[in-house]
Amino acid sequence: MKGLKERLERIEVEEPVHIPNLDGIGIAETIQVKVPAWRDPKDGEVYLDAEATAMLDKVKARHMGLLLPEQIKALRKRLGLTQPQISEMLQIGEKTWTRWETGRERPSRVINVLLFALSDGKLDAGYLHSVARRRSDWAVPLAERPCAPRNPWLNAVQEMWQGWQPEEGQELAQAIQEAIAGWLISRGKPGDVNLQMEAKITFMPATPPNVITVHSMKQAAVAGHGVQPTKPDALSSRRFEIPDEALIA
Amino acid sequence: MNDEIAPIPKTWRTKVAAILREGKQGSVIIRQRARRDWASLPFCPFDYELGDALASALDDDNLVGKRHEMDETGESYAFIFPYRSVSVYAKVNLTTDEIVIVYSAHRPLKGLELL
Repeated sequence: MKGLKERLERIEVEEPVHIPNLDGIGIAETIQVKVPAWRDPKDGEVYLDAEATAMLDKVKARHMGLLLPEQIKALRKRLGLTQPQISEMLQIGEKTWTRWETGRERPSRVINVLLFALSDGKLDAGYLHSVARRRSDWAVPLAERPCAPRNPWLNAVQEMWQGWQPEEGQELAQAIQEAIAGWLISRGKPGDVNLQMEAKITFMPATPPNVITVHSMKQAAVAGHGVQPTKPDALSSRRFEIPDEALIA
Repeated sequence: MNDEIAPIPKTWRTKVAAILREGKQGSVIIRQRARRDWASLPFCPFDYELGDALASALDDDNLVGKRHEMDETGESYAFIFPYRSVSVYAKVNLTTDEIVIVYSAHRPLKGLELL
């Protein structure tokens, strides 16, 4: 008697692909997709293999608006990151990213939105790096956190808003610092991080009290000798808004 | 002959999980009915998730199952495992030529009893 492999005949079948709704607990749409399959002439049973299921998954991913594996890989290359680097930035396992790139696994819809924002340049990789670092910081008990007064950014923030409670000021200042640092790093070339950090915070009297305007100092960065008095470059400025509830009256 | 429910032998679990994880073309086949049942679970999982879910379930040393004799030569077990928010009944055969056949992958039809 023939074994299963020798018995199976190649056929084509139409398979339903269910597209989940946004809640992820129901079907929004069902699509019929033709895929290759195998039929056992002994009992008429139909079987699908990895080739067929990969095709079905691809259709599903496309209808869900998920980035395709090749797009995910291209995104990482465009950002100039290695797989470990981008995994660290997104706070995911390295294997997970590898699987997204090979199509072995698909990102969730939430992550997909994030990837699209990165892909479209609407989100700075540097900013995400700073968020990832901040998340790591939160894992450190409060008592073990770096002492606030050594942080020049904190000093600057505290100088502006006298009366902040130290702990809240520290946390907020750290958040501000990382947001700003992330933006600066994202503007720099690899290796220029320190130079790009040589920036200047300008507290604009005319702006609301919860807004910091930052100007990068092109000349200083080029010279590499620290911040030098120079005219702020309006095109390179950015405003960082601090949530009102973080301010203490 | 169908045996009683008992822990699934580690050698079988390990072998099947390895084949599922490797996902080599032709080494895993899924019965059409099983694929459709899986795809119809409330959260509409991807097809690739089935192999991963089965492999993860088989990592559990305490996994119990019921041995089944199928037409296809090999060693078959039915077992129930949790996946996301639901329980899934699966019936899997490891054939003598080391092909994994997934016969069933659906919500348990008799509560959490193995059929």
